[in-house]
Amino acid sequence: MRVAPIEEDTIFLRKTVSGLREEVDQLTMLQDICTQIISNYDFDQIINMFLDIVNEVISYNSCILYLYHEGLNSYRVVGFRGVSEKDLKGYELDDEIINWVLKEGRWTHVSFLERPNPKDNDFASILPLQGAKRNLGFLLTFSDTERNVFTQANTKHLSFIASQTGIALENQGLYSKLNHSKEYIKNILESINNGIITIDMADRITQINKNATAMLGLPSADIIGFNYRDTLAKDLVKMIDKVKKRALKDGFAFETVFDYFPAKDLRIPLGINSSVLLDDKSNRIGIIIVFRNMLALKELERLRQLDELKSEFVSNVSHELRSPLSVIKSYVEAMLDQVDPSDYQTQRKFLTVVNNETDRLTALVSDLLDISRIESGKFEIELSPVALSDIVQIAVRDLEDRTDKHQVVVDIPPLLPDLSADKDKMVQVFLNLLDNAIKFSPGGGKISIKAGVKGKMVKCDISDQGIGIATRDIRRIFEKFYRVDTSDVYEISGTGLGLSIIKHIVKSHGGKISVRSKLGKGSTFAMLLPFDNNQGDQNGRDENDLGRR
Amino acid sequence: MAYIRLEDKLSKIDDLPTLSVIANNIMLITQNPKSSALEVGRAISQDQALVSRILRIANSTFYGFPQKITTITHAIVILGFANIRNLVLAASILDMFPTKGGDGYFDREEFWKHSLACGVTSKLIAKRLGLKNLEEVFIWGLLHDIGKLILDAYFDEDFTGVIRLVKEKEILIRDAELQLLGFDHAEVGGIVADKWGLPGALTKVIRFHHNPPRANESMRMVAIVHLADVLCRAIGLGNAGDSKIPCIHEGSWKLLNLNKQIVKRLFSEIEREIMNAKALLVFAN
Repeated sequence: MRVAPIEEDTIFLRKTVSGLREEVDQLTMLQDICTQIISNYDFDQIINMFLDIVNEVISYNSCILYLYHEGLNSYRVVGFRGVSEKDLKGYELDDEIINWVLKEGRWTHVSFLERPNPKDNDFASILPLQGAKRNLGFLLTFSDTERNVFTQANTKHLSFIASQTGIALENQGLYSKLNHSKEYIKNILESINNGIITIDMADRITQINKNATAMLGLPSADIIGFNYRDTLAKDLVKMIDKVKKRALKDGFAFETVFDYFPAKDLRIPLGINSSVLLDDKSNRIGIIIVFRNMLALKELERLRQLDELKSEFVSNVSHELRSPLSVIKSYVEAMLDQVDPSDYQTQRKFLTVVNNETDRLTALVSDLLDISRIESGKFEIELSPVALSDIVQIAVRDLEDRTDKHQVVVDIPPLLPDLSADKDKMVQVFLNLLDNAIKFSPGGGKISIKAGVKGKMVKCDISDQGIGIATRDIRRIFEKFYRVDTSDVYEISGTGLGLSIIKHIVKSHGGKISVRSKLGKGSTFAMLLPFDNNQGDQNGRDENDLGRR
Repeated sequence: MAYIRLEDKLSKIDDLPTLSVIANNIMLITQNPKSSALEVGRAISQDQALVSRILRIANSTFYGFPQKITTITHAIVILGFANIRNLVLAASILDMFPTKGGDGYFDREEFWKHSLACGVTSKLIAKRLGLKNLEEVFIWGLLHDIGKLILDAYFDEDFTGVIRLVKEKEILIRDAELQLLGFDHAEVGGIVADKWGLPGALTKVIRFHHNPPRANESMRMVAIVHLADVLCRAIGLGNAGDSKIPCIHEGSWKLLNLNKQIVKRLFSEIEREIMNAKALLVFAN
């Protein structure tokens, strides 16, 4: 049978025109809905909107959405409707057909499909989801055959919806990748020990890590987006301005160190450097500023030096302990084995040596004890009014026994006010200083002790004409364990503790000690010691007054 | 002026071909977006010979569906409306102008080979441009030179003169047509396409494939076929009546944003695709 030409059928034409009009309306509406899908970055929402809208077009009974998973290298179910979860595995998809449909990129009916509870009157179809350059997956749908869903319009609509959803999914993928790498970079930023701030070309803070907030003592990290000049402390802004200027000129700024005061009385030495941030087209997009807490670094350096000093100390002390002990041992041995028991003179001579060495040992041990007391904070002084002349007298008497080569000159004004001091400790100070004066002037010479009043203190200088102290050592001679290295010229023993103890004693009296020296010419240790308060007023005259009396 | 002369000439031909009834019906049915696979299938089923030809081609390597397609409705839901409509159209036109025919001056077999290559190339260019309805683009390329067949069949003497002039002077067939007839095959094809009620885009391609800017807002579609035509001539796929390669319209080249490297890649793809498409020519006979 041949049909008559339909072109004459006006009803047909009218239907066609109305169908076309409806098509335009539907496409307009679809476009609006798809705009919503595209502007969404939530994966689940995109999937749900997609399944909703496909259902609106072909009212499926059930559907399963498969998306390609790169890690698994296969398609996996990401959404389904009208299917029970346990039935999902029952759908056996023919790879060849799937690949064909994806290659053609068209909504296609498929009849060859193994599935649970198959129905005779359902229409199975595959709608490919394509991104810009690759297949993303496909939607498997089942609808009633009677509904006659396979029309040109539906084909067009589904193809449009699928392409928009494909774009939405790709955008979403890129978006989450972007978020992921943002998180990754943030994690890196946070785990760096340095403080990091980035600013854009309009001086707005674009990134700040927790270390920067902590290091700079910022109340909150919530300053992103604000101009750094408005949010950071003035001295910090000044430093940032400086390194920023440098970075803009040279591309980077070397580290400079400055003292930062995040709070009153809290000083942190900070290292600051910066570099220009560029985008992929080498346009300047901002500056990265890196802060380094130098306090930790300095503390480390100090500990390292301390460690060095301690090892040096242990070797010094061992040497100091061993040499008197070996002298004692050899003299005692000699006395036991070689000295005639009746030779009292030799015995006495030997015993004197043993005695002296024992004194040395005792002094050393007591120095060590003093240091350990000072270090543990248990070093105490008992103050009472003492005349400086008494102290000096005791010390000088001891000194005279020990040297013939030195001439000691004492110049203390008779009306000098009493000191408020711990007499024993102060004697120890003078003994030590005089002992040093002798040790460090091996060629002999004059040792002078001169006192006077300066303000409300007694000033006392002890000078020698010895080997002197090099400038580089002067600063450090009061440090614990520090010894001026004279080994190449003279053999001078010591623990390196004496001056440290002296300084501590003087300081705990409220006094001061300093040194002036010239190599080869001698040294002067100058002390300022406080008066006894009770007589301070009546004796408060200055040096010149005293000098005239 | 040339257009009026041509209309006059065409109107004098009583037996100017019409599309087959089935093809005509399919053109009309598919104009309505609401038409379903069932309706299209019913219309095609009126001609069982056509049904078996369509099933043969649907199962050919050109479409390469992994399973056997046994019914016309099945063919429609798998190949889609556009493919089926194009198959019906192509079958109808090939019936009118069989490959074996004409007078030997114009080699129809070579002509169809060129048309097929042009369809394949147009499709590949469109794919590269990211277009989705590639089946449409294929038919544009396949039928763009339909005017030549009309001239060969109904203006036999004039057209023989045209071919002779082309061979003597080694000029483009279009220049020879304009010189001898005052109109060209594109204009003839356009008028016939209007008469047959072919889809608007296809009609524009047929009418303006030598001068894409005249298609105005449809220039992009026409430019695709224009470019495919020139490329196929350049690599000598079939012969459309002349051997001279026309210039590529610069605006079209720019519009499609192609470059030499893309074209190079296209060449290798064309060779592969054309092997599959040959099935269509077998189908023609």
